[in-house]
Amino acid sequence: MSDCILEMRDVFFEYSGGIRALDGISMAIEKGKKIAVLGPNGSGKSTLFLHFNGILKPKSGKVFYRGREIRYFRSFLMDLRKNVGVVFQDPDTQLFAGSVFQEVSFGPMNLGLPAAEVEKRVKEALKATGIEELMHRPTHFLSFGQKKRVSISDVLAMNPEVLILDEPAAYLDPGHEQKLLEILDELCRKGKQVILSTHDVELAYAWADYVYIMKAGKIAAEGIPAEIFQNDKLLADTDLRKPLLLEICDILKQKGFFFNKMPRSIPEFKDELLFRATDE
Amino acid sequence: MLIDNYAYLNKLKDVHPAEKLLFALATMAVGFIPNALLNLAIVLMMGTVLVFKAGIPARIFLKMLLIPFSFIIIGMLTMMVNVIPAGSNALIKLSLPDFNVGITLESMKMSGLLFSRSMAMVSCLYFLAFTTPVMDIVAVLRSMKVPVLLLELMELIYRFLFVLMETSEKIYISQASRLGYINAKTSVHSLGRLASSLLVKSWRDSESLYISLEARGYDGELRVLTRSFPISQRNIFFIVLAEFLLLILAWLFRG
Repeated sequence: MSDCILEMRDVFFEYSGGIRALDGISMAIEKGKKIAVLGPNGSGKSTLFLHFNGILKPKSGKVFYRGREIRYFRSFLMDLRKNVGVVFQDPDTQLFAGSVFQEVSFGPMNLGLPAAEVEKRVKEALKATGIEELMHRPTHFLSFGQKKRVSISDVLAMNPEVLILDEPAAYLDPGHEQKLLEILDELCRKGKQVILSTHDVELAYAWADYVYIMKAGKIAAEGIPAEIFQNDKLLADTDLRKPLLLEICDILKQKGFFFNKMPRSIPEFKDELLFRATDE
Repeated sequence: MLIDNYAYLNKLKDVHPAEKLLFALATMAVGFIPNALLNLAIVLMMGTVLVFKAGIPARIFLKMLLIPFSFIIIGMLTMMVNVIPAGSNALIKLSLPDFNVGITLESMKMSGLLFSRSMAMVSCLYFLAFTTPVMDIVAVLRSMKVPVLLLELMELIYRFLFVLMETSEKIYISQASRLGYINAKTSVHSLGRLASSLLVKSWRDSESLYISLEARGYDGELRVLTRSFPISQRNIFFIVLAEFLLLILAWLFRG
């Protein structure tokens, strides 16, 4: 299990009032994989994420980071949160400072870094999300998409090993969503571990290396997207839809079309078609 | 919120906030010398700096100056009209059975001074408000060792004022589009609902905010790095010069 970056064993969690949010979760997230967690509203995705950086403490069960069990005292949590950053769904409840510069500096300041280093990190983090020009802008002047990027920079400035994003694509227009995925891919290339939750099966299918499907506080299924999204019964049980591209490929297959590899994006799909055409 | 926009966009936004604070406060201090002409000069000076240096449209500045007018006029009237002793020579006098009410030369002067001083002070504050974002002022106060608790409150209130405004606007629109404000009765009802849902939402948002701060290592103090500004000796020279000229003016035209 040494290649697992985050792991959960038999985690149960209840909110006050006895609402069970996590109902016996065990999962082992492999290092270097792009992870997507899918599931309907209220299936426990956000609660799950808050366990990974120790904000919530399981009622029973254990959480591990890099093979070490998470302990709930200050210095351990401080170290954990330095390495596992969470970007929250609503930037308006995450951004608290008056200006973008101050906002992004909050995390690295808490790490106790010297001012020059904080400034360098803020600049790098803003550059990584492509919003350097907004540095001295007041937070309330920004559009939703810009606030979203600031909220990602917030966490990037702490230079975490793992970046967890709760529904990063929610409310974003297609252009901003595309840009977001490019930013995340770039982070993955730089060796960051990216975990996100989404309702969007197309996004999960095209982007993720490995997906978890949650339902009612349980992991209903996990696997590589190509297999998970072929499981019609699972998709029906968890209120998910088959990705459109996969649906089209299935129809083509029924018509006697052969795919070397199931395409995950339109360019890949085109390649398969061309390959097939030159083959004949 | 018009002023707030200008605070971020004016041409003096990159000037060190401490210099701007010094300029405003020093001028206010000078303005306490009882001299109407001096006060008028202060209004003119602040107006000139705002319009020509900061690039604030003159129309906007004048419009903002008019806002405190009504308060000041009321203050002036109460000061001008007094109970006057029997033998004094009043400009206008109204004799009542037991005493006289009227306006004297002194009370005219007094209220004139009140008016001109108020306008001078207001224009100093406008200078600060039009040229300096709130966060920059907080940064200066921080370096002046004002208690952190107060400053954090200022920062959070400032930031969430906008979130609250945006949220209440959204709720209002959603109510109005369902005819929530079609007549007086529904308006009262809808407004009550708006207030209560705003409270509940703020409560929940404050919880999410706390969680997100905690996730970034919050330990009870909101430490942020503030932007650094270069100090301009030239500006300080001009500030000192301007105050000096005002003092000379006050001395030359002393009552």
